Amino acid sequence: MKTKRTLITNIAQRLDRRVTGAFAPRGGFTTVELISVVVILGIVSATALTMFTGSSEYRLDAAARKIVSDIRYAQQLAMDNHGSYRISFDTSSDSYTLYAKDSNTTPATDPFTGTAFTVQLDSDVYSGVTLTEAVFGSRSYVVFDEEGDPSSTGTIAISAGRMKRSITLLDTGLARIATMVEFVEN
Amino acid sequence: MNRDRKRRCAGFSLIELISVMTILGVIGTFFAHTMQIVGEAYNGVTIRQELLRDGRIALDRMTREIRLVATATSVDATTLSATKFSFRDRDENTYTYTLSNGSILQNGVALVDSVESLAFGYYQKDGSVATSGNSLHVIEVAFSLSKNGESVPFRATVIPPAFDAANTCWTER
Repeated sequence: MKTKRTLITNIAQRLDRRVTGAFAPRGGFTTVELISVVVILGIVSATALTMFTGSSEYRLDAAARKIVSDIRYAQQLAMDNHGSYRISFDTSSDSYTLYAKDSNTTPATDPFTGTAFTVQLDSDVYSGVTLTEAVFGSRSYVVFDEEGDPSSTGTIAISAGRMKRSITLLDTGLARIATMVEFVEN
Repeated sequence: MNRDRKRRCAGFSLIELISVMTILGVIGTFFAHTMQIVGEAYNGVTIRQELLRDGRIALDRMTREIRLVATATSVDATTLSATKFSFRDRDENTYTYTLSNGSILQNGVALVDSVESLAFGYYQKDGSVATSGNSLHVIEVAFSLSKNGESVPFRATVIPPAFDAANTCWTER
C-alpha cells in the first residue's frame, strides 16, 4: 500500500529509517521538516504555558503592592507636611485618587508622572484587575491626619478573573496584603 | 563530497542535530540562569524597599509619640524592658509598645510587621543605664525588619522635652 507522502509521513519514515535502517541514503531531515517541528513545538508550549501560569496573578500582586504603597505615601505626606491627606476609592471606575493637603477636590501631584495622582486599574499594566471593594467604616475614602492616624480602619479588595486579593488597613496606618489569593466562584 | 552524494544525502545527520541541540541547550541554560539572577535581584530590592518604607513610618510614629511623654512619673517604670515601653501623654492617653509574633504593636494594634528584633534602651542624662522613670532622660528605639533574607536595621534616640525641662530647669535648682 502506498502512503501519500506528506510532511508528517516523511518525518515518520526518516525517523523509522534512522532507528532500523542505519545509514540508508536520504535518511536525514530537511530544513523544512526541522523548522516545522520546532514551530509546532513552540506553539504547543506557548499555549500550555499561558494556560497554566497566566500573567493576571502578577498583575493582581502588582496592583495590591501599588495600592499599599500609595496608602503609606499618603500617611507619610500627612505626617511630614502636618496636614490631612485623603485617598478616595471608586469601585465603579476601578480607580482611586490621592488629594492634595487638606483638600477633597484637588488631586495631589504624582511624583513619578508629574500629573494628577489618580491611579486607574483595569488598564495598562493593571489590565484585568478590578477594584471590587473599598470600605473605610461607612465611607469609600480614608483621611490621614498629621499624626499619621487614618480616619477609620478599612478593607480593599481587588480581583482578576476568579482570583481575589484583600488589603486591610489597621488603626496605625499599617496596610497588610492578605498572603493567600482567594478564589471566588463565578 | 561529489555532486551525486550531496544529492542523495540531502538533510541533516543525527550528529549535526545533536550538536546543534547541545549548543542551544548550553546557551539556554546560561540565559535562564541570568534571568533567574535578575528576578531574584528585583525581588530583593522590592522587599528591601517595602521594609524600609514600613520601618521608617513606624520609627517616625514611635519617636513622635515618645516625645509626647508628660512627666517622668507618667512613664510606667515597671515596663522599662527591652521589648516593652509604656507611658502617658499630657492628655492622659496611654501609649504602649510591645513585641508580639514578629510585629511591634502600638496599644495592641500592629505598627509594623516582619520584625526580627526590638530593643528599647533607657539612659540617664550622663549616659548610664536608667532603671526607673525618675532618672530616665534618653529613650533609644532600635529594631530590625527582616523578610526573605533581606534585613534592614532602624535606630533612633529620643529625649522627650518634658524630661529635658525637668532636668535642666527644676531639678538642678
